[in-house]
Amino acid sequence: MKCEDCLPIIEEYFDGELNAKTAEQIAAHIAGCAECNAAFEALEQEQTLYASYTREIDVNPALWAGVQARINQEAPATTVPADSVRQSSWLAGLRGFFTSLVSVPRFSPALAAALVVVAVGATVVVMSYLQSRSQTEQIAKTPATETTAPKSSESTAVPPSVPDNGNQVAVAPSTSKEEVTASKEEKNNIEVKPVKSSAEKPRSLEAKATKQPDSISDAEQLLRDAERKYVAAITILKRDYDKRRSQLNAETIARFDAALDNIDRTIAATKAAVKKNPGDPIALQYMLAAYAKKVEVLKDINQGS
Amino acid sequence: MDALMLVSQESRRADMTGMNRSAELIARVRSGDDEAFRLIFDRYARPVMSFIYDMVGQRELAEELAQETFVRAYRGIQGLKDDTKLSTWLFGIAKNVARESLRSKFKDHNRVEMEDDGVTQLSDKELLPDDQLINKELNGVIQTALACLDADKREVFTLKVFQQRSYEEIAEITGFSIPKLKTDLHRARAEMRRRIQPYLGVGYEV
Repeated sequence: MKCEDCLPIIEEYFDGELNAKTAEQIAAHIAGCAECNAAFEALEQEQTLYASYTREIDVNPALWAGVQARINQEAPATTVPADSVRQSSWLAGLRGFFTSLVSVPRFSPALAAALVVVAVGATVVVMSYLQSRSQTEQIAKTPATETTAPKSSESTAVPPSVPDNGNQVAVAPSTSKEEVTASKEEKNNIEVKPVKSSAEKPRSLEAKATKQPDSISDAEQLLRDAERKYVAAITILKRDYDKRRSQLNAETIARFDAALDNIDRTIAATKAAVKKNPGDPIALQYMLAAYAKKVEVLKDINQGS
Repeated sequence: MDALMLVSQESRRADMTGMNRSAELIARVRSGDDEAFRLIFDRYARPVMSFIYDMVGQRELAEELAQETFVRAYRGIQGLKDDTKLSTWLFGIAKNVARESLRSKFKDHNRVEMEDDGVTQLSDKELLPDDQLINKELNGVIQTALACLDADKREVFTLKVFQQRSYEEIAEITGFSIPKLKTDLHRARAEMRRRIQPYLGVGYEV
């Protein structure tokens, strides 16, 4: 081997990237060539110098705590469906986050938002379906008689802001059996109409259950899942709020607490109504709207306070 | 919790770090074991953060980006195809995170802005190594020299010279072809050599 063959690949030799045969040839050449040997030693000296390079960085506990906090917030939204085992896992994670005492707490976490999106989505689909069924059946018996919205006279009325879709959407009744699946076309042509008054709530779903037992069962299950997701989201947001309370003045805390108590009473009332009328879509609708309102208020508090 | 228990836990963690292979740790993370991810973090946090620091040149930013790297790793670990390449995969994420940051933070994202601390700007006349200051000076010189490399060369140089990665691994991490990374590495070494020359006993140009 000659110097002109050796020098172009001497760095690869130094890096251990040559095959055994070529490496042997280089080694043999270097042993007898002062110039190439000097080149090789220069590389060694440089590497020694670089090896002494120290960076002013430190893997401190805060680094892991920051990672852990974000993982605990984000993991369930990305990889974990809402079953009990995994829920306990992220709840354990949340405990780790709140005890880490490192890094600024992040409010309105992605998890809560994701849970609400899922819950609202489920509400929209199921309520659209249930309403379309109930309206169709009502219309089949009597001509449509729209009434005014209840405007919930109670102070704990549930504004429709979050669950607009589930609360105030009335799907135009179909004239055939095709209405059974709330099709995309139906959802795209939704018409915002006043909510039916609870006095005019549709007939019991039990009758329908005899016609479509699986669908109704699935629908109720979806609503229950939606309720669970709202509750989970509220739990997270409430913890954020509790964490933040110490930074707020007493008057603000009192105002927020009063608002939350108000909504809690509404939730309790709607839950009681659902318990009495388990198959009543309007009762379920109000209950989920109450949960949604609490999520909305907690988010506003966390973002605004 | 007393100190002994803490020491015991740390010791156990260190033992497990040594014993567990990457594939086992990944399997545990996938099954929901967050402690396994902590072990992965413990094992790779320093090299990953060193690499990021060399890329961006700022300590606080490097910490932030290292956190981002591990969060993305946690999110994406379900999709890791070859469990034996955890390290390469992590460095690939770190490279992406650092590149994104360079693009967003610096106008000329090929060059980084160095922190003042620890960086010593020396002219040729001033390069008279004093035994007492040589390490600090040298750190500053190397850091400055790194910052002067363009991003491609800095990436390849750091992965080879500081992280001791093979060409094949560097190609996987950076997405560069082997010929490109060889060329970049050669040029980076030459540029770095010019800047650290006064600290070398032999002034040989390869």
